[in-house]
Amino acid sequence: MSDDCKKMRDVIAGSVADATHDRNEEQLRAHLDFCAACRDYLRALQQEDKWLTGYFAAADADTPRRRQQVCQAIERVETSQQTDKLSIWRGIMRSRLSQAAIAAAILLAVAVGVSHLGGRLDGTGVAWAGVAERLGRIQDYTYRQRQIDSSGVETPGFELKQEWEMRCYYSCQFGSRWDQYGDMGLIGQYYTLLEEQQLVHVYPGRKTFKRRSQPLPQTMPRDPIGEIRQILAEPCVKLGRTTIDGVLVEGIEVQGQKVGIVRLDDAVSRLWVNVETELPVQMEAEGKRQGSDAYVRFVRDQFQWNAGLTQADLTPVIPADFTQEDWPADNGAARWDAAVAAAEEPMAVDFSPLEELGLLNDDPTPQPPAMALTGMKAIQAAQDEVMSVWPKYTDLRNALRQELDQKLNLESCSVDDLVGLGILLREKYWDAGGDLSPTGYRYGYMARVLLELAHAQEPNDLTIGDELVETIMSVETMRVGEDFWPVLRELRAVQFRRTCAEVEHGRQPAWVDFARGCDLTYLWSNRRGAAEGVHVVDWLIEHAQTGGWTAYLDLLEQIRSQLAQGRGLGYNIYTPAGSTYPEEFRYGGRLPSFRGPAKRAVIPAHPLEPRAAQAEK
Amino acid sequence: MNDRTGENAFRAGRRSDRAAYAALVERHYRRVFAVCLGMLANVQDAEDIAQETMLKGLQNLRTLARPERFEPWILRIARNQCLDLMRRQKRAKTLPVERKPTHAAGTHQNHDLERAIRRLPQELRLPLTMFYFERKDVVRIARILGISPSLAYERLRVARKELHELLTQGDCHE
Repeated sequence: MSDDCKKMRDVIAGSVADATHDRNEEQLRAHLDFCAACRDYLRALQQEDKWLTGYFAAADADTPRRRQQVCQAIERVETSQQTDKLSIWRGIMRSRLSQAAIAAAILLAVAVGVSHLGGRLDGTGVAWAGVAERLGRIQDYTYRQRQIDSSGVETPGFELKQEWEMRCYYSCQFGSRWDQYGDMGLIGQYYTLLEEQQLVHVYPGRKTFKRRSQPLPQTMPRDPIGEIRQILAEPCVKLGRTTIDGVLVEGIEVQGQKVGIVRLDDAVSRLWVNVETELPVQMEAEGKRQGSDAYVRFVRDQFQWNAGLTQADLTPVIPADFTQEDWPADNGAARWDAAVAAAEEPMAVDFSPLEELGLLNDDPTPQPPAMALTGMKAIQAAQDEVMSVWPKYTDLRNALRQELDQKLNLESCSVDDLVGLGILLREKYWDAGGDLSPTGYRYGYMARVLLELAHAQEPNDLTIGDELVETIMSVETMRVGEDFWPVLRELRAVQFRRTCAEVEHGRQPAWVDFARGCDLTYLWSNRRGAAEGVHVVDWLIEHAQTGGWTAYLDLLEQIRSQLAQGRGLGYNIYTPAGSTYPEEFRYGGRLPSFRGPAKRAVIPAHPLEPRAAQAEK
Repeated sequence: MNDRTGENAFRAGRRSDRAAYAALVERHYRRVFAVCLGMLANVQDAEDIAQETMLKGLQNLRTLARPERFEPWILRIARNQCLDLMRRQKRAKTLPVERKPTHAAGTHQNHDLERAIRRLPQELRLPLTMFYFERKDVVRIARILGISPSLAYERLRVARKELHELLTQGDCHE
């Protein structure tokens, strides 16, 4: 069977399943004209449709009898078993909500029914093919964009709901402007100026702006018209009619994310078009944020097509008292690419010291369960299954310490020995299958014992604290248990106090301070810890310029406002490596600073992060 | 659901509790049965579980916090009852009893079709059943099943392809 036939058989199965799903009808008809096999396939499916209709109609034919039997059974129910359900039933029918729901259902049924007849109320349908053509004649437009984040179940005990809003202005001639709003009003204005070939960002809150010249493409990045065209090109389901802000619209839905920037899993996108003008009124996408339980919904609405924008609308207005921030042309992208490429190279680790010290298991290296590392849900389910049956660290700690003492004579080990060996054992843990290995936890727990000893000896050494945090996160995820939360919080809190003191005495803040602060913000980010969380974020904001994490300033300001209002934070401030590393889904459910195995750790958290420079070497 | 049914049910509700509930049965039984049939792929099991569901609904009506949400509530009970039965059958390590169709022709063709439907995975079988019970309205099926219309459509498409495979392989034996 040719690829064309395979594709067409999908279309045939779809068309038999839903007659309204006819967007490929012409293509199908052309194919059937010359392909006898597919004609037979269509005929067979149509015949089966008749059988199915008859089969289910027969199954349904007895419904009145069965319903009667149920009613008789209800009559036989002892009166004593019944409570005052009459009032509840009256509630059902008296409820205005119920009446409204019934009315809405009737309206929906009418609207959907009309759509299924293939027409609109006046007897015609939206000419979807013409929508793209109409958009081609648009010179400028404005719209509102909203992103609604909901934390889902990732963080037990509270749920975040946060809304971001942008007002967007696009002009084929002048460029674009995005005004971003948060809880405290206008956060920033982002201009892309085509004539000047410049990007300009203005931050009213902190009275700064930055400007950079760079070659710009003629087509706008993230141009919603491009996204609309993508939706129109996909196989879709027609959603029928409804009204949005009093406008009669007709909708389609496609699978996959076509709207918005943040990557989503299991996403669907919808497009609603004005029945009269046949121009988009609303586009939306929703799904789970990739690699987490957070649920995200994008909505673009309030479109004004051919809005008559002038150059003045797309010229930055920068008050005289605003100061200019640095915006180097080198944003680290090249170093980022090099680091990602390096991560793809095999990275051999020498475990022979562990063998010499008798720290390797007697049995062969345990292998992780055979599974394809594809798909977040499959990986997380496997992790949860494996890690939930591990013994607890606290139950094994003393026995492991005794064992290590026998083999290493711990008192004779220097702090450097303990740290070096701990890091090597942690790497062996990952090598043995890590959080997908039923037995590899032993290496991770031994690493933790050694690093706890080192930390006890040198509590003020921030690097040892980092390695201990990293090790605890390696053998725990936040999905499986939360016993270790207070431990991590205490470790990070001690480091934070130390960092504040050091910076106050003249030390330059560094990226690692940012990473620790982000961890602590997350760890404090429940309602009880709101004040502490705000304090940490304030410090991060105050030192963003000197520390080099100004790229996160807007986000930090949002988070501060959120925490100050007693609302939780259901996501990490940054996620290292994004989705560039093939096994990335394994590393969810941990704090922002988490690096994972050495191979993964070389990928920087951000183009400006120093690990990128290390990878270059 | 229509106005007339609602009106009758409302009147019944004034007369007596059981009569009021009978009106709810009148309105919702068919859909409950369809969900049970979609999950269990056996008319007699579906009949039994649909009846149990409606009785359980009567017993637990007072726990329904939002009366206007009766339909999703009763459908959830139906699904849970079906899952319970499937677990019981699994524990008993007995295959579903092959019962001859009590409805319609009982022809060889129908028998093959029933076997093929039974071999579909549940996530495909349920939307397929609902499709024929709900007059082929994909948007409504999606609403009932709590999934997006495009996902409902996709499942229907795959269900039709797999069903065809099963029927043409002639290997519909369980």
